[in-house]
Amino acid sequence: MYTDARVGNFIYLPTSLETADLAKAEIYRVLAAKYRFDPEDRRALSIWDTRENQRITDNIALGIQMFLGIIGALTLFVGGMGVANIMYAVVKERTREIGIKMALGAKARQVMAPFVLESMFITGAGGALGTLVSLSIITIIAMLPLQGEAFDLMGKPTFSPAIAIATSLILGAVGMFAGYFPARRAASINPAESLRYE
Amino acid sequence: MIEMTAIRKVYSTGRMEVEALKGVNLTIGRNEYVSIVGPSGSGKSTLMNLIGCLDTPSTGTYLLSGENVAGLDRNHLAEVRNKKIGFVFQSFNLLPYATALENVALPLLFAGISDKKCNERAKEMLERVGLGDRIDHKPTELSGGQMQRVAIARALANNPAIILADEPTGNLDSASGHVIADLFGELHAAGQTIVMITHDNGLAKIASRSVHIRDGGIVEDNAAIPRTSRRRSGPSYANSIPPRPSIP
Repeated sequence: MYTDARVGNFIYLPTSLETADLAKAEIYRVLAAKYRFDPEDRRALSIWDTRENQRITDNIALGIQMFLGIIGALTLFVGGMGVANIMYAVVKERTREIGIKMALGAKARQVMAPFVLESMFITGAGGALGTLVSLSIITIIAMLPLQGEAFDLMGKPTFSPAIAIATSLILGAVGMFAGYFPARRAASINPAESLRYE
Repeated sequence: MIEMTAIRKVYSTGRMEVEALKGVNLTIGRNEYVSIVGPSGSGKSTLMNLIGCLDTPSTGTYLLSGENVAGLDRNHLAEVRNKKIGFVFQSFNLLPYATALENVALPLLFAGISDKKCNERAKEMLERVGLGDRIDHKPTELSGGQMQRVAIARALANNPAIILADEPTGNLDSASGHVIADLFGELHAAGQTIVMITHDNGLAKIASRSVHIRDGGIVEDNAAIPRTSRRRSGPSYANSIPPRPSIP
């Protein structure tokens, strides 16, 4: 390859992924026998295995995904806590109204339902707003004539209906829980006391 | 209708225990018009809460239309309140964001009746109390007397066994008080059982029986005048309070 016509390196392609390790071992065995070095000596002959590179890249991508996932989960949790707090405040504010409804014969589920529905509505509206914002960002980025290594590596953002549905379901669950606990408190209020509440 | 035996109610406030009712025995029959009279702190509100199934007694038995309601859980108590008791409060307790019709329909909705039937029945009740032309008005658009009539229509919605009124004229001027008192008189004449908590002696006198309560016990229970003779010559609310102011 260079000046003295010796082979400095060569590229080989195993016939399949399954035979890659076997091929690698075989190359070490054959060349070690021919050039008289220890087949276990990785310094005598180094092989650049592209699968290892792929593995490292995959692990980095997985790490980034996990990091983003944790941030997303924490954001949802904090958001859920925020909604639950609002709902607790709403329950307190409507103590008298809850008392009136109970006096008129509202059962626990009839007292709870409006709070759970309201909480789900708040998170639902937040989710819809978030989807609209993300769609707008995706459209704007697609319209911009951006070039660069980052876009080559990461690709341009696209809208994924599957992720949108999964997020909606998670948001629905967060909304339900954020409403359920304050609603349960509302239903446990003593009607006689809540009617006196100012 | 109402049979309370040895009813005690004890409130625990930290280390102290307050006995609000000390073994009350009270029986109220069908179509009675009973006023429960007593000063502040006498236990009359506690008694009202127990009669209205808003609270449960510490000990004793309470039979309402033959059913022992003293040991029922919250949901069953809610059902009893919905079906058997119609509340009229001093401060009306209407939902401010709902129209008169929606307010009256509320106990019907809780009973699981369809929207259409709820609205029909609510409209009928509002017409019965003379507010057929105010069905779409919100409480803020009504006078005190009208709000109380909406509350009475709401109390009547589920055709309850008892109307339980807590100082129903307490927040009203005398003219509106007249109208409400007359309305109760009409309901009683039509066969409705009414229990009214009041400290207004004038209002208490128009009831056919007044029960006086003090320090957590009944100190006086008198059926003033039999209902049949009361209709002809008994006291009326008009004779017991200052005359209605003339409107120029």
